[in-house]
Amino acid sequence: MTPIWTALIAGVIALVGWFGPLAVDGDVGPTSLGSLVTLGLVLLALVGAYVGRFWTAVLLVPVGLAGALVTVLRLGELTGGWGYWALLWGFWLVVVFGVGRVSVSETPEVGRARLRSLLPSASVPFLLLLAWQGLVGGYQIPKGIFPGIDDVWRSLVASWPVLLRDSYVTFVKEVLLGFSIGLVTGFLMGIAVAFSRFLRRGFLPLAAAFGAVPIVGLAPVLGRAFGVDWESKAAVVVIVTFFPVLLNTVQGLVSVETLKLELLHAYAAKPHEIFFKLRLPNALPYLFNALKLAAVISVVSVIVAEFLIPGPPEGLGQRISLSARRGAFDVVFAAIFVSSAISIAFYGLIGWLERLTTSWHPSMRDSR
Amino acid sequence: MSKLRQAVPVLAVLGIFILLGYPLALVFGLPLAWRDMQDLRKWEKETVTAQPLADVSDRQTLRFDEGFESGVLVYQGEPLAATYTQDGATVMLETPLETVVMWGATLTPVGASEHVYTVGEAVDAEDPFRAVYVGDRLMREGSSPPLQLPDGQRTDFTFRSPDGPILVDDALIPRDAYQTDGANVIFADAPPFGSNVRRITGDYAVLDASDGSFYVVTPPQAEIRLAADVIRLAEQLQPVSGDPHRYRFGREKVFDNDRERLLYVNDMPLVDQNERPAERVDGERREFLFPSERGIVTIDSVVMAEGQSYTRDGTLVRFVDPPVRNARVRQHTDYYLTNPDAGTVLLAEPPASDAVVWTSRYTVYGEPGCGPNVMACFLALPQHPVPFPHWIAASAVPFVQKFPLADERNIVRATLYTTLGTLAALGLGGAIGILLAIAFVLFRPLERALLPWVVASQTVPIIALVPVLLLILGNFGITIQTSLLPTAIIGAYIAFFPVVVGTVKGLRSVDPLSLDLMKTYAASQLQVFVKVRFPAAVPFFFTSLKLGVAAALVGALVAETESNNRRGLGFAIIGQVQSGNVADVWILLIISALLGIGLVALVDLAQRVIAPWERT
Amino acid sequence: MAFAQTDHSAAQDKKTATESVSEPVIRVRDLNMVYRGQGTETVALKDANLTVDAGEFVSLIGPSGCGKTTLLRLIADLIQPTSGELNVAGMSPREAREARAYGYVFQAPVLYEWRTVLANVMLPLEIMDFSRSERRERAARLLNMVGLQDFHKQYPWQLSGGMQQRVSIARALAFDPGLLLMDEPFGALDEITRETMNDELLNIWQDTKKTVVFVTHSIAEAVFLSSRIVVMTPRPGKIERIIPVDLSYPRNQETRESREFFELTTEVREALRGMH
Repeated sequence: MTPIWTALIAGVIALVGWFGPLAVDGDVGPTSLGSLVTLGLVLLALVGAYVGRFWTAVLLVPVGLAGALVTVLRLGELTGGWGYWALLWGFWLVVVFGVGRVSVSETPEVGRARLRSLLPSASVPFLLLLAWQGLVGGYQIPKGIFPGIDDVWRSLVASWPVLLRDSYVTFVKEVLLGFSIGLVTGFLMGIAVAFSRFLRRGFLPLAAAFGAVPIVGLAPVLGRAFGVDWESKAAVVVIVTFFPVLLNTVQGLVSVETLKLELLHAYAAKPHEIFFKLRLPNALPYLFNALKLAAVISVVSVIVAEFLIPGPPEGLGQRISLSARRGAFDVVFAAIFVSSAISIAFYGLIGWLERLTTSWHPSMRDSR
Repeated sequence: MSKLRQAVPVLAVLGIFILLGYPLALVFGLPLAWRDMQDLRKWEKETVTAQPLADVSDRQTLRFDEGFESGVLVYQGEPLAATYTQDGATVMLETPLETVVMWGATLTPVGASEHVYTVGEAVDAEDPFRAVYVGDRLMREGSSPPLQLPDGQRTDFTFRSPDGPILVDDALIPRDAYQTDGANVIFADAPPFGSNVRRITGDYAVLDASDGSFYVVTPPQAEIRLAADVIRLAEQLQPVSGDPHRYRFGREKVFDNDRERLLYVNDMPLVDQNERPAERVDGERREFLFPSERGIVTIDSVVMAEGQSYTRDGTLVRFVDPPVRNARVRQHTDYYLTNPDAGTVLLAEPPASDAVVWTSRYTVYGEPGCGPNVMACFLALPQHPVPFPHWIAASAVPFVQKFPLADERNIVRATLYTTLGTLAALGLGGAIGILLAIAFVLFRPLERALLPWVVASQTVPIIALVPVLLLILGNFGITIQTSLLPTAIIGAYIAFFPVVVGTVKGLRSVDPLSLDLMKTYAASQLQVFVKVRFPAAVPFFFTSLKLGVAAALVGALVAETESNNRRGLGFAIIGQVQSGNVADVWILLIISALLGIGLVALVDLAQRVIAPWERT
Repeated sequence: MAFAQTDHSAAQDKKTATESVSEPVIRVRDLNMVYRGQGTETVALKDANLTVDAGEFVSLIGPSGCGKTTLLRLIADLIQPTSGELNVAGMSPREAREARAYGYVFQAPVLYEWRTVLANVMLPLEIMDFSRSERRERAARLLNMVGLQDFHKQYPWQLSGGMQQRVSIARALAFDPGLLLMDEPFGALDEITRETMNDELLNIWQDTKKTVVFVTHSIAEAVFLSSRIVVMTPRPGKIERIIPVDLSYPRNQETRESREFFELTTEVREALRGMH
């Protein structure tokens, strides 16, 4: 078919780079197994780009990623020369254009369509990590200023037990507890507000004001109130969970279609039946929206709280704060990765619960 | 009228929340107050001394200010041999004494003042044995500090006593320089940080010990004399039954390392010579040499029983089991205070059965430093987690006036600086958000590739990236001290997210028929964007911008907390937190919240101007 | 109503004029449209043949799924046929669209809520690069024609459904296309408003001498408006019968109550029912 010209050009850049100097001082480096593997990958990329079919475009992705990885890993000391940069960015662009070709393909076939929808988002983190490591390696940035992925990985492995204990404190003791309390109190308060005309009129206009109180200032106050240990951080989570849950619960309970309500009225349903058969199911999607939001902001906020309420040296936020002060940015990034992973997993868990309980909702229809 | 009716519930709920501040303040404050009350280190210290005679004219019925459970009369350092009966503060002698007092210096008035007198030479300011008489009557010295410590800003203080002149650093404060309604005193000018504020509670107070000047509250009718010595009522220690070594003070909670404590057995003073052994405690050694041949041996403050735990051979002490490594092995020569809380003391030598064991001076913990009860301690808390709402309201005006407009810490300037940072962050984040959204809509695969990671980016705790970002920007010479850029980047990192999501949704919100219509006009892609997609996205964009402005404010505040350029609300919050000024933190919280609401309203206004077609 | 002054003879002139034109405005020959879903095929239009001459008012009528809207969208090049030949104004549909040969009126008014009534009518003129003064002049004239001259500063949501649809018709006519494609434009209106709109549309048609292809599922509307009615049947969508309507002009409330009108509606109804 037609060659993928952009990827072909990227491949040629990599090929030129293979002959160029790898180190700043012009050192080409020995012809080793690694350099031969690199050459092989360059040629494979060129062939794939030239043939330009769907599957060869798919093939460009692992080939390019492997090439960039080998370039970054193999060279070690030999970095920063124009050969290095040409190889790195050549392979990198091969991946980008390969993904681009796959994602614009119009194919009705189920397997290909799935690949088309998965490949782009799956390759992005690899591209980012390779660019990160490539830049840090290429400019030989010292670990104390900006760590490479390898440094982060090493410190992730080395401080795994510490990070695991920190995660336990941050997530189980602080986030989960605070989240549960915030959920229950926010939900109950939401029911109260939804059913009290007075509270609905009086409280809802103020809710925006309460929501606007910044955690940055609230956290230290809570630290005074609950002590510097984990309780005050759980309190921060309670607050960041409470308001979204409350507001969405109210909205969900109130925004019931009049016709559906009148239908139950026509059946002479009792108030509790109306609540359990109509209002509560109607509120569930709203509630889950709030929970998904709260899941992410509770983890982020608890880390802010740990920053601002220095207590016993445990918890991811404290770890990040202490490590940043010592200049140990590899540990900082390792902890950031762990906290992000926790957020995403927590978000995923709530998304899963949502699918389990509100599979009837229209918003669920497209997600399959 | 209907506006008013709408406002009533809002104001009512606001009122409820403000009122809720009071129980909350108690809920959070009382445990802290209770903790403060229990903290012995913060208790008032009180020295118990042998009482001087209250009236030297009567030489048979001696009256003292306060009695001891079992008192003993002492004169010139030894118990009186006379026979007497004691009834509280009154002692009846069988035969009158010849002399009960030995006079010292006579005080002379200083200048024209009726209140200030001088000895003419330096006196010991803290002398517990000082006795001053007007004629034959004893004058009581006394002053007490307020419950609150002067911090240079505080003007209102609470004293234990409801009246009396007030001294600051031994200088008398004129009556017109403060207002008082009994125990509460409000100064016109705040006493300086760390100054010695006290209120005279007795008949006189020493003004300046170096020239021996005294302040006498009531102008005296007779000559003022110092007593060189006088008959005193001292406290006799009571034996603890069953143990000839063990005696008990009259008061509990005795101060354990009291250097002024004076114990006597008859006229013999006892010394708590705290002796160290000559050898190191290495965990194996059993034998230790001490300077003296007798004493109470303790290991880590636990009294060892002679014969059981150790044997003595002169100055050599031989333990049965070697003390553990680095244990504190000590010998207390005459006595050892075994239980300060109960006030029991152990004597090395059991005194003779008819000997009087007495004390002329010792220190006890008086009462909790913060006040006599938990409520007083609550009011005296230096930092309330939740201050009473009216305290917050009261500190609003001084807070606003704290810094002049020329100072960058001035609250108006701080608010403006944060507003600038927020708007910069919103501008940057909004621009990135719009561009990304357009790219996503124009090129769907890009959205598929990047959108999940845009979402994931928000799980990265931004505050953790602040130090890293500052370091990187610092390499390019951009610091948060001099540039708004770091603040803008940090705020933009969280502000761009709602803008991307909202704008993509808006650009996609176009009704398919509208797109068909444009197709029937054979309109170009650019025309479709300009005429249809952008206008359709405007309401969505503004809705997301309202979320974005709140996020940008959070980002700006976070960035400011990490900066030390003394600018912005974030810095002010952290500053007040560190100085423990919680009421001001609450004011800053309210200001920040109002700023957030104001900025959202600003965006709303912009929306009304830019997109007037939306129905209200 | 304001434009009901076209007399009978003028309509007759027009009719003879259209008959004399050699090239038809729309020619549909063996047109097929098949939608492919996941493992399913839906034949939306099967072997359609139709010719529309200049100045004709042709209605497409039939139940849901008979392919009438599909046929209209094919003519407008909003979708492309699976097979068959389609000519619009002597060009391919795409060329016709790019030459702005037709105006399209949708089921919904499709007004842009951020534009005033006047600006909505000017929209196609902006896209087609008419001069500023021309845009104003034309839009004002057309708003006048649909009787909305007093509403040009309003936003769409301030107008009733019937008024909104009138704006949409004015917009379709703004750039003076020879052909008007209308996809159930009055479907969402109540019966009374619809009859008024029908009267007005007929006047506009007679006034402007446009060719109109009109999709509807109202038999009375089709009979009242059309010079020919194309009856379509579903599964697969195809043209069942073409019924000429020779009711005299001007048509008005009397026409609706006439015997001929009743007979024609009966004929259409039977044609629609005959397919089952």
